[in-house]
Parts: sequence; structure tokens; C-alpha cells
Amino acid sequence: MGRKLLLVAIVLLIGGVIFWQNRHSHGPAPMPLTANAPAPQFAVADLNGQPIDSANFRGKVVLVDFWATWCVPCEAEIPHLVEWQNQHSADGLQVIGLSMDDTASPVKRYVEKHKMTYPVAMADEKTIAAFGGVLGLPANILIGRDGKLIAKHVGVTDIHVLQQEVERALAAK
Amino acid sequence: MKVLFRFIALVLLAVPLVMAADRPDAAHQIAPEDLAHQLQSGDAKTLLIFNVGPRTLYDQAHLPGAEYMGAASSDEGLDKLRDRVKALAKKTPIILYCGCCPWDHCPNVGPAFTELQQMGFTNVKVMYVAHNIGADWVDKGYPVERRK
Repeated sequence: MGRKLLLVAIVLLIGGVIFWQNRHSHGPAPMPLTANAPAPQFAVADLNGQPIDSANFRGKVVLVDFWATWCVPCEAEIPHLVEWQNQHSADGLQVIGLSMDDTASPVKRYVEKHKMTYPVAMADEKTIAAFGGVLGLPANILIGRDGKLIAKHVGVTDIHVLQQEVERALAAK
Repeated sequence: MKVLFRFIALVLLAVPLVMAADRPDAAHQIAPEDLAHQLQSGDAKTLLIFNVGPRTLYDQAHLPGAEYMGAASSDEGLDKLRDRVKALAKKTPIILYCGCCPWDHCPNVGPAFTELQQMGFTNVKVMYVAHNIGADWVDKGYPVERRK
């Protein structure tokens, strides 16, 4: 009897902790955007100085992720982005990470440690402005094969929602 | 077995306490609408407002008069904050804010608040940003300044 009560208490506590963690999360908060608007053009250099030019991604599904090394929700998303890039590279998915960190050195360490297989660059003022500003992290922008915007999510986003959007975009030939 | 169950129960009880340890309590929070009202009415002239988030967000939009300290989750950010306040009276009214991420996930406001408390500052409040500075401040039409 005592053991059953303890188990019930543990379940309630776990539920309480989960509720406490999520009490201010209201799911994805997509920013207003014009459906099917042409995606912003951008050109940056990755952490190794190699150019990343949006013009080279025509015909691909592009997922741009604004993130930072200290951003807890970003950290939760990144393993999924790495997995999707590895899994769907041949299907035409290109993930691009744009770091909002103040300096590049922690970003380089993070990229190595977390084995991020997609290109990562520091987000510059021009690129941030091109995407309509980034005033919350993480921010995910999904661009279709036709070069048009599909979705922009700012803040904590349900990873399953993002995954479904990516898969739908990849299925559209 | 009983000992194991008791240990698990204790650990689970401690988790929320640890997570909440560096979050300012309600008495040390200020709602965005209240701070916006103070700024718009001119009641906030004596307030010091410190941004303890990343430069990229500060440059795009920050509260009027807010000084950039840097992310307080980094040593550089905390050093700058310490240096900025070291000559101030301990009763100086100070507002801290970040707005990078949802309140529960922000890595910056907690360390900044704890640091000022440990330094003896008694009039520190942290702006409660539920989602991010875009949704909870800029999109609501509250006053902002951008990097000059």
C-alpha cells in the first residue's frame, strides 16, 4: 500500500515538473509572413571562411536556423536538424545554421562538439534584417524548392510540427 | 528497495527547486506592460536598465536607455555587469532584462540577478519576458531604440 502511494506521488511529481517547465510555452509562434513570398537572398561565410550563398540552393528545401550556443531550446533542436540533414541530404534538404552568438569561438567549439554536419555561419546584421529581424531564439525559416517562404517560427517550436513541414516540403517536387 | 524509492522521491522533489534557484521570484519581477507604462510616463528616469542578452538582439531593438552588458551566461557579460555597478549605491533601482528565449529557458537573467543580489543590491527587478523580446515587447508597440 505504502509503495503504491509512493509510486503515485512520483508520477504526480514528474507530471508537476513537466507542467512547471512548460507553463509558459504556448507552442510555435509563427511570425507574420506573406505566403509564397520569395525568400530573402543572403550570402555569408561559414566558420571556415567558405561562402554560403542562397543562390546555390535553388531546387533545394532550405531550413535556416538562427540559434546560439547558450540557447537551451536551440540546443534541444540541433540534434534533430543534424539528423534531418544526414537523412535527407540526397532528397535535397539543406540546413543552414546562423549563430547569434557575440563571437565565433564558442560557436566553433559547439559545432565540433555536437558534430553539426551542416554549414554554420555567424548571423550578420544584413542577413538578420533580410529575414525581417530575429527577436527571439530559436528562429526557423523554411524555404521551398521554388525559393518561396513556407514558414517562419520564432521561439520554442514543436519539433514534430517543424519535421512535418520539412517532410511536406521535400515531398513537393 | 524502500531506501531506493525514498531517494528517487527526494531527487524528484529537489528538481524544481534547483531549476527555480536562480529565477527571481514574483516580488523581483516587473511585467513588460508596467515597465512600458513607466517609460512612457517618464517615471523611469532614475531607473538603470541593463540588457544582459546577446548583442545581435540588442542591436535590433532595445528598451530606451538600456545599456548593453552582454550575455550574463558568459564570464565577459557578468564581468561587465560587475564593473558597471561597482560604484553604485546598493539601493539604486536597477532593471535587468534579456528576452532571448522564454523565461524558463533564459540563461542570462538568472546569473545577472544572482550576481547583483550577492553584491548587495536591494532594488533590482527583472523584466518577465514570457516568450521573447519580439513577441512580448516590440510586437506590442512598446518603445524601442535601435543601435545608432
